[in-house]
Amino acid sequence: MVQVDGTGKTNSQIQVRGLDKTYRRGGEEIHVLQGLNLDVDKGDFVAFMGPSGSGKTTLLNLLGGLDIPTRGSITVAGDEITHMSGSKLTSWRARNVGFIFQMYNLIPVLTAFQNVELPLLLTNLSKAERRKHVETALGIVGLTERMSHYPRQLSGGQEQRVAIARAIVADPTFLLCDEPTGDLDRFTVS
Amino acid sequence: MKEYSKTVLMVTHDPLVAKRADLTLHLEKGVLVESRDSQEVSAGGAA
Repeated sequence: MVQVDGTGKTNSQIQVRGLDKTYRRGGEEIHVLQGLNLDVDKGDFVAFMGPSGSGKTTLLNLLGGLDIPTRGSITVAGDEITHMSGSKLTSWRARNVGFIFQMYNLIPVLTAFQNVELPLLLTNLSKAERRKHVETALGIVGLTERMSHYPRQLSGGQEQRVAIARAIVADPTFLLCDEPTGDLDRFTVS
Repeated sequence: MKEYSKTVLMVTHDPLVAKRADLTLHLEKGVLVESRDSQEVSAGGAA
């Protein structure tokens, strides 16, 4: 059960407490997030809405360990990420977070297979194991036949599905998605 | 079923996408507010 009042039970998969994010622009302080609380259980699907500039992407970046809060804590599956060092945070991200961004951020000189394999290069998996995981992920998004295609040889919807395969290939704890459905073909969405 | 599914946190502007979520949260003035519409969906989905 998702809760936003900070009273969630202590074993929520994702637990956010008193999260503040303040930016300085010139001499002015901009309070993007203020004392935000959130509890999310394993398997929950939460949508964040709000006008642009309301802090949605800032919140996503904080949850994914891409940005550091001004105050407050984020705990994921028992790990408090807010005080992790840069290198520890990088390895935490590789194990726990699948990112799906609005822009697919596929690397144009790598094939679909190689793009999906990228996050696994940060793990200890053997080449054969990596191949198995990549094939499974590309199978899930229905792109087994396109593995050796380059991004420019794929449609926008197919590129987005490669990005989804890349996000799930390491079997992360959770997925963070920033407006990811815009380019999916109608067929794929339904 | 939920035990086997992946936790997903998604920023979206698309109400049709939000409708499929267990819960939709709105960011207002830096805090999260539950959307009244999807609270009903959440109550049903959490059972």
